[in-house]
Formats: sequence, structure tokens, C-alpha cells
Amino acid sequence: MLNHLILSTLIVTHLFVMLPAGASAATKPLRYAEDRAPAIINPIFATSMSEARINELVFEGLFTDDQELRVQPQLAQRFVLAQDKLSMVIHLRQDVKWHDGHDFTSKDVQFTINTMRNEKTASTESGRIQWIKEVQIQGPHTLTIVFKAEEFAPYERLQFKIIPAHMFRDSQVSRTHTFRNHPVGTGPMMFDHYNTDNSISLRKFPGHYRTVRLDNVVMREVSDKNYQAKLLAYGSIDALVRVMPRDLSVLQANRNVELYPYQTNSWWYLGYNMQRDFAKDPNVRAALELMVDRHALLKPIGTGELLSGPFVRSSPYYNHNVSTSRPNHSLATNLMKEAGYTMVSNKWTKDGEPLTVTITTQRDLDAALEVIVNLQTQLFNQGITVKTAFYDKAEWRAKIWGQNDFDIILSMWSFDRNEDIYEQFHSDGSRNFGNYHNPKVDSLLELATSTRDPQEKRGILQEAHTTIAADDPMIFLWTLDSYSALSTKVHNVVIHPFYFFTWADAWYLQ
Amino acid sequence: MLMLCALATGCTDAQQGDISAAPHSWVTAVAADPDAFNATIQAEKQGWIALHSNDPHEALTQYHASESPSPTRIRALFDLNVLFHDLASLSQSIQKRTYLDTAPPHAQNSAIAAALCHGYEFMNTEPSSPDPVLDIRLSQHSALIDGEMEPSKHLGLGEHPLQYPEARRGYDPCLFVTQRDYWSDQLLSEAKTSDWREAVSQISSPLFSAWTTTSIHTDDLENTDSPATIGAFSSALSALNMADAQRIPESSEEARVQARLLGQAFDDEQIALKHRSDAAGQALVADLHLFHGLKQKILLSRARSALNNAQKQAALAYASEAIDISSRVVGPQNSANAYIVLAHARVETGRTREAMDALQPILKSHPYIRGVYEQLGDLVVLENINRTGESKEN
Repeated sequence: MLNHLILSTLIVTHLFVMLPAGASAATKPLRYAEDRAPAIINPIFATSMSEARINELVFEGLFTDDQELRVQPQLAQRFVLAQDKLSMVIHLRQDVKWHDGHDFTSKDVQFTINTMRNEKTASTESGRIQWIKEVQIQGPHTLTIVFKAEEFAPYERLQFKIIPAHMFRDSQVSRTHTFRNHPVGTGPMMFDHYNTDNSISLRKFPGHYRTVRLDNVVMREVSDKNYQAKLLAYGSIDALVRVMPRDLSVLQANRNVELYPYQTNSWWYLGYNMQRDFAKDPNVRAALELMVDRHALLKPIGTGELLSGPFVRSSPYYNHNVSTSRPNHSLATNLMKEAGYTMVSNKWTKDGEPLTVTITTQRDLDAALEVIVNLQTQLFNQGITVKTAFYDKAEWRAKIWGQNDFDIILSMWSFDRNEDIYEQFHSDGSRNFGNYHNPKVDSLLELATSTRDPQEKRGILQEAHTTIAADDPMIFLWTLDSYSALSTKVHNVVIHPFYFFTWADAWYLQ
Repeated sequence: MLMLCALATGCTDAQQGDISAAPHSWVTAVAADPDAFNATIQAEKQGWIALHSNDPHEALTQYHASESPSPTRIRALFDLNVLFHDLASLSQSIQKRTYLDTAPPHAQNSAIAAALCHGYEFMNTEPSSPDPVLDIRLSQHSALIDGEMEPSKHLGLGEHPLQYPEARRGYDPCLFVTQRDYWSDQLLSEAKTSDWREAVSQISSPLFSAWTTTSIHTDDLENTDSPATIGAFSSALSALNMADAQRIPESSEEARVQARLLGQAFDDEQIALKHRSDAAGQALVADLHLFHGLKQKILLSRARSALNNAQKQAALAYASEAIDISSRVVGPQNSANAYIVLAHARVETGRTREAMDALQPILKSHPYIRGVYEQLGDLVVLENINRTGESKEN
């Protein structure tokens, strides 16, 4: 009873806090919850799904998906592909303004591509423009994109977001540039302000070329997933981007809530830093995998499927011939001995040093605390001491992405429907934090990128699955049953399977 | 457990329920008279358990043939017919999208024709076919594998700037059409009639079916185009407060609202049962998920109807609302049809990758869908082969 009273009070308090300063109740902001607020609102540096989602509201690309996921022009108006398929001329919309009133021009497109390409910028999105040789400006709203090789459908690769050239001095852009806190885009919603509770308020961009039905959007940081579900059930937020599996049945029974499958190509993993001494030994990596009882780790956080490799089970690339490993204490013991470890006082020890590893995760990863505590116990009981570290986004970015300074990370990757794992497992991949290196995998991933035969591509990536699984650069954990939940007060809802807000300009509240 | 108890032994001392109002569905009738329910199922208990578990293959095995038409066999054959109707529709949708929507103009016609008509390697590697007709179909077409197939020079290939040098050999797009027709023939044969409406009208009990009332309304049947859409426009839906029940809306939103209203109506019915029936009847309805089962079948019928009328977004909404997401296997809560229709609606709305998610839960229980699943996988890759992938953390 007391808990209920406290919760009710919190929710009522929340109702007031969540209204943005400039918004009256009559404007009915769309209030959605993220586990953690985006660290940065600049699409060329986006690393997390929360950033991708807010970018979808604020920024636009040359092309985008329509509601049947076919490519259609967005900032582009029309294009002509050269007969030799080595270039294309794009004619831009002439009625597009940036949120600060400047005209959108071809210079912005050229600037964005050059900035993403600039190595000193270190854009996390640089992989998306590697196929572009150069951009030639033909006029304020006309440009030519020249390719490095034949492109059959280049428009399908031009969906990255465009940023305004006039906001930057040159194409060397720092992640800490003030733009990240005061973003200017062409999208249907424009940045309004940060609130004291770490929420972000957006408001309708009145100069947008399409009709935008939402007046305001508030992104609210709510780290407690249980609390998120209750806020939605009580009507204190309108959208929950990721529902924990354990909350699904309750929300499905709620007639005021609609569930939508979302972000289903996501999987959890424990990733090794392959430069750490313990992780260099394949026997140790294999032994650790056999010590982990993934069923037991998954059970407290909900329903999902265990995985044997870097794709979800429903993926066309998942190799069902690779089985998920099961805990096997005796085999793990043999592998540890082969790696030169001996059991001393119930600790695996080598050269007089007990094996101690630190597992690091992000503070905002759903249920990570539960997983790590259980994992710590499992490994401790088998002779390995586990320390834990929880980083906020900035620390994570610096330590993991920047310095690769970790033993093991617990994290999750989300993929769009391409399920392209090049960046995670290629030696040159921008998301290969663990410094995994296997020439065969490199070759397979390069082939997968270049082939135009679907069957061949599937075969290549299924082989990559086999090879990567055998190398154990990660302990592949699971994919969770993944849904979003929206209040039935939000109308006209169609959710993009990856970006979520792609068609939010047509949503409205009633 | 209660289900088995109820279906197997009639273990409650059920009393005649006091129904003051006419029942809106067979579910309320079950609640009102558990004894009658038990009496119905006792005769062919295992068959009814199979039907309740959405396993028509098993039901057919359990219902014994007789010289006179068997209403229960007719019912199982009806469900099989609908199952393969759904698979045929899904398969055709994938074929069309693969070979007409996305195939390149310079693709080899012969390769496409081969992919359309040749190749059964996968099916032949299955340890056992689920029923004889698969083998019949395979043998019929095995001649084509080695025979001469004159490729059509005008397959109506769409514009798509892709190279697709080797169209996939593999799966018979006609397989499930043949299955559907086979089971339809079996249905008519069992019912000793040439009219499917007459055959359906011989089904003695609506238990676990899509039609709401205790007897099939003649009007409902006459207003239905095919066995697969029975129940979609039942006159009982208006009585259940489904707004504009006789119309499939254009938008997904309206379809979702209709689905919610139907769910709400059944929730209300379930609450009302507390005053109108005894505890045993209420427990039967709750533990067997009867209202959900009925709602699912109605929504699937409407989804099929929407797909037939190219109202894709409405179909997607109905199919999505039909699924009970707390279960990921075929059973009382979700039929294989539910996953197949959802996959079909997703293919039609461009969500081909998500269609694979929909089919994933039934791959083990229905191994013969592996072929269409693999071809769907090819389509997913084909549609995205020119795109640059994107990945993010969390």
C-alpha cells in the first residue's frame, strides 16, 4: 500500500515535471521515455539507439524509407543515374530551410560527406560514405555524386543525415563542438531546450515543408524500466521505446496501450578485449563460454532466444548448424588447464596470479545490473574473480570506443535490416572494440559487401557466423522479445523497425 | 492442466448456467453449459484437444473416418484447408515480390523460370513429409526438374537495377496451392458435396472456430468469399460492439481500434460470465483461453479479407492484434495461421525482414515451411543488397 502511494505520488510529480517549460497542457506533447538521454545530438557521431531516434526527429537525409520501406526522396527531389552507373545528379528540394532559417543547399550535402570522410573528424558514420569518391556542386540545389565503382541503386545508400555547413568552420568537426547541445536540422522537430531533469524538449519546426501534426515532443530519461512501464500504464508518458519482456503481458492486457515490434535485430554479448593477456588464449575464451549459464542469466530479465553467433535466429544469415554451447564445467576445467592455469584455493591461477577480470557495462543498458551480478556469481563459483564497472555514456565512449580499455564488456548491438556486421568484426571495423582479427573473416565480410547474389551473400555470412563463433571473440548471449509500447492517445502511429520516429510527423495526440 | 481435466473427464459438477441473454458466441455457451461441452468432446477427445491446440494435422489423425460424413473430420479438413490457404497466399506474395517486383530486367528468364518451377532439394532432405500429398506433389514435379522448361520471354519483370545472376533454385511456389486444393478436395469428398458452404454447414460444433455463434448463420456464410474468411463479417460482431464491423477500414489505426473494441467486448463478456455462469464454466473459459482463441480467429479472418482487398496496413494491424505475444509456440494461444498471416501482412507492407521474425516460432512445429522461409530470406537479402547497414549500441 505504502509502495503504491509512493509510486502514485512519484507519477503525479512526474506529470508536472514532464511538461516542457514552453508548452502548455493544451499542446499535448508526445512524451517518450529513454533509459538514458542521448549524450550528443549530432548524427555524424551517433553511437546509440537513443541518439539515432532523436536524430530521426531533428535531421533528414537525401532519401528515406516510406511506410512500406521503399526508398523515396526526402531532401532530394529527383535524381538521374548516369548510364555508366558511376555517378548521379541529384536535384534537391528548394523549399527546405534549416531550423535557424538558413536555406538548405547542395553545399550542406557536400560538407556532410566531406566531414564524415575527414579522418580527423572521426565520425562514427564514416563507413556509410566510403563508396563515394567525391561530391561536385552544380548549383545551389544541384549536385553530382561520383562513385568509386558502379552503383546500381545509390539512392538506397544515401539515407544518412545531413548537417548544416554554416554551423561549422571546416570539415574537421569535433565531437565536443557546441552543435551537439544546440543541434540545427531540417527535420520536423527542432531542438527547444534541455530541462533540469535531463529531459529534452523539441518543438514543431514551423518552416518544415510538410505538415507536422505533433506540436511538441519531450524525451524523458527514465532509467528504471519498471517505472517506465508504470508511467505508461498511468498515462504519464505516451511512448516507451523498449519494453522489458517481463512487462509485455501486462501491457498487452492494457486496452490503453498498443504494442509494436521494434528493434528486433538486437543481440546481447560479452565481448573480450583480445589484447588482454587472458583473452589472447583461445582456451580461456572457450572455457569462460562454457562456464556461463546463459539460460540462468536470461531468466530473470524475460523471454528471448539464446544465440550462437552475431545474428538473431530469424536472420537470413544465422547459421543454424552452429549450436549454442551449454555449460560444461569439466570441459571448461580441462581448457583452463591447457591454458596453463591451476586451481589454487579455488581460484584459477597462472604465474602466481589469480585470474581476475573486470566486466564493464553501460549504466543505461536494460537489466545489465541483474545480468552482471548473476554472472559474477557464476564465474566466482568456478574460480574466477569478477570485478564490475558501470560507465555513463561519456566514460563508455572514451574508455571503450576511444581507448579500448577494458577486459570484458557486456553490451548490446542493434542492427537495421541489413544486419551488417562488418564494423563489429572486420579488422578495420569502427566498432571492433575488442580488436578481433581474423583474415578469413575480413575476407568474408568484404565479399559479403561486394556480392550482388543474395544466395551467395547468405552463404558467405553464414560461414562468417561459423568462423566467428569458433574464434570466441564474444560470448553471444541472446536476443530479447522486443517491443515498443504507445498510448492509444497517440494516433496515426506507424513505427520504423529501426529508427522508430521516421514517420512521426504524421502522428498526433488526442 | 485444467484443460486436460475438462476435456478428458468432465471433472466438474457443472450446473446449467443461468443465461438471461442470448449468448454472443460459442464461448459463452461453453461457460453456460460445461456439461454439454464435456459431452461434445468426450466422443473424440484427442481430436478436440488437437483442435484446441491448433493442430489440425493431429486432429485429422484422431478423428476416425466413417462411411457417412464425419462432422469432426470435416472440421479438421476445413482447418487444414485454411492452413494451406494461408501458406499458399504467403508463398505467392513472396514469389511475386521476388520475381516481379525486384528482379532486374536483364536477369536470366530461364533462371527465374527455373526458380519458379524447379528444384526440391530442400524438401527432399526433410526426414519425413508431413503427409502423402507432399510426396505426390514432389513426384509430379520431379519430371520438370530434368525436363525441358521453356522459359517465358515475357515474365513481366519489373524495373530494378540489380544484378541477380543466379536466381535461387529451390522451392515450388505452387506447392502450397496444391496443398490447399488437395485439402479442399478432401473436405468436399468427406462432406459428399461439391459446395464448400454446404460442407462447412455440416460441421456440427463451432468449438474453437472463427464463427461466433452456436450455429453458423446462413447470412454469414453467404457473405463470405472463401472458407478462410468465415467469421470476418459475422453479424454477431456488431452485437459485440465492433464499430463498423461490416467494413474493413483503410487505415491501420481504424483496424486497431476495431480489434481493441472486440477485445474489450470479450473482456466485458468474461466479466459478465461471473454473474451468468458457475465457477466451472468461468474456469473453462479462462483456462482454455477461449475468448482469446475466438478473437484471434476472427481477426485473422478479417486480416485475410483485408489482404484480399489490398488493404495491407489494415491487414497488418489485424494480424498483429491477433497474436498473443506471451507465447511463441503453436498451441491454444497462437495458431500457426496467426504467424503465417502476420508474415504475409508484413511481406505485403514491405516488412520482409520482420516477416522472418513472424515465421521463426513455427519452423520446428511446421518443418515444411522451411522452403518458403528460405526464399523469404533470399528476398530480404535481395531487397537490401544495395543498402549500407547501420548498427548502434543498445
